[in-house]
Amino acid sequence: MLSARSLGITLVLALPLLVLLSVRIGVTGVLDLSQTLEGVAAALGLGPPLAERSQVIVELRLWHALTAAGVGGALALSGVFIQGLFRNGLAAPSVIGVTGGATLGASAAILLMSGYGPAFLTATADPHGPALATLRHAGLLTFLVPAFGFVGAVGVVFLVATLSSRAGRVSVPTLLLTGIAVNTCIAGVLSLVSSLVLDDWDVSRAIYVWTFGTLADRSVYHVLTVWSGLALAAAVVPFVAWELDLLAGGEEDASSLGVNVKKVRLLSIGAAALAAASAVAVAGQIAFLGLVVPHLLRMLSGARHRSLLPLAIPGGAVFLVGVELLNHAFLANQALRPGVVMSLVGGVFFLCLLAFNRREVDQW
Amino acid sequence: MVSLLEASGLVYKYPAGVLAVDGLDFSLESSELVVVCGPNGSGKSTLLRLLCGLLEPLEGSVSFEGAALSSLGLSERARRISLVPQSLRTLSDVTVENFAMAGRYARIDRWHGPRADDLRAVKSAMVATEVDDLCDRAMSELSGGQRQRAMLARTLASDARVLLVDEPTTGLDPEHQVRVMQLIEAQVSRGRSAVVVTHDLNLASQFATSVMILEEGRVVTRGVPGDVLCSDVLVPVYGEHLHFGTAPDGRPLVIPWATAGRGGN
Repeated sequence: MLSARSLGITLVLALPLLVLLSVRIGVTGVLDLSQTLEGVAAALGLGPPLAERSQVIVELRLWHALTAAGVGGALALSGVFIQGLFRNGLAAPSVIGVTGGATLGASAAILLMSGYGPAFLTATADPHGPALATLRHAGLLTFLVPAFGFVGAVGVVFLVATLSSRAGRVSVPTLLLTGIAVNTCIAGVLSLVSSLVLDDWDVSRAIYVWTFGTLADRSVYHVLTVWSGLALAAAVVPFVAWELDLLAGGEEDASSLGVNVKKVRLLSIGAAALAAASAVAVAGQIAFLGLVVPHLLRMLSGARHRSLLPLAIPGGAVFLVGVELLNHAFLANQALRPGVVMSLVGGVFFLCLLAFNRREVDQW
Repeated sequence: MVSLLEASGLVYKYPAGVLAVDGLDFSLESSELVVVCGPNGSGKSTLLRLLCGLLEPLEGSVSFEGAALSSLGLSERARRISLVPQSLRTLSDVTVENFAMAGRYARIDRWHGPRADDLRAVKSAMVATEVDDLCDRAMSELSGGQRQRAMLARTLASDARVLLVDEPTTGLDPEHQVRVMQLIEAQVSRGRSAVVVTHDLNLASQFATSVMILEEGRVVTRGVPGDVLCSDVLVPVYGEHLHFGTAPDGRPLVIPWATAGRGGN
């Protein structure tokens, strides 16, 4: 088993290398290294831009890679928070419906901002229409989608926590069944909404894309959105990391040691929901990443949350950037959406987890 | 005189409405080892949880050195009273040393981490419980006896003055049962106080300074082992299937016996 420190250093060093590789290698061809570095420096305001087309390509690839890094880190962090909170390795954000809740919230925001909401949110109903329309497209949409996603994610975590906990104990079968029920309900609602707005091509496509996950055509706004949410969620880590370890013995035992269990639960739920909602807001629903990455990190460096939580951010980032890099390098124009890749990989991983933990699963 | 730990008029009902503790009074003095016995469901474990503030009584109150337990913060309580549960799940790779360090949670500064006195307290607790040679072993690899000693190490590391121990000898062989009780007795002789819940009346006879018998959430009697562990008290509580005798040192012996009999005292 690796020490958390050496694994952390490896991941932190690997991330910028993978981001640079992602900028070099893409569907439209391979850039040389100096061009890549100059283009990245220009995108960050540290140098003159490349010839127009090359600079556009570099920037598209850079925002794509940085968004992927943020989304990977956020989903992995959310997964570790949720698994620690429910004291179960199968409780990933997508399995218990958190990313589904965030998708539902984000879709509601898209509908509201597209003219399907109350009059005060639509430019046409406002006497100062043009001004509000500008505000709507420039800033409000960027803010409302993650905000609604957050509300959806928090709502699902509270629902799942309430239904699956009794006297401080989590019932794993109830947890997973609640996740199935929540995911089914959300899928139903999203299908209903999609069918109702089928004639509005832009809106139905936006909702459709959200349900499969996408990292194409991301901008600096997406990068800032996901990394801001991730930074806020990460700020919670020092306040809950040891406490989540102590919660392994149950809420009563943790309380007897002096842990404020209610505070730890609220902070962890808030941080998990915020991280998942930030990821869903910029990339849609990418299933199973929050399940796979925490398990890989646990296998590599142990189960303690004091190391697992900080490792989740570079770990998830390296994982999704790496998956996207391979996806684009090998499949080029046929590259799959990240949500599709993760569903294929993660679904098999989930089945393997169940198969290898048969004895434990049989005792539920 | 103010007791170290005192409870008066405690009433507690489970969420289903079953009365677990019914108007119970309790006091614990310095250097006292009270063993609480009683039939299954008599409220023993509930009493421990009420005494450390994990459960809120419907009526009555608990105080530590005269201060209401409810007025103390979680950390303040944990620094004064430590609970050893009957069994505990841990993360698979938590080492014995890290597990014992959890006993210092209420004392360790979040931003600074363990200081020299924290490390000293953990080391000394592991030495006292004879798990210092297992400090790097994962908790999941320990035998039942080693695990019980590690749980006591965590409690001793907390430096709490009151130890509440829930059935510490369940599942242990006779040698380990005696060793665990000797450990608790040694801590009491160093100025701590302990309340131990057990079904083993003979361990109560050997180690308790005072034995308390509970039945249906009420105190039947409390006193020195010689006065409490006799047929007049125990048969009405446990039934006829007991055999009474006397140990070589004169202490009472009580053995479950299929044929009802009242030999000895």
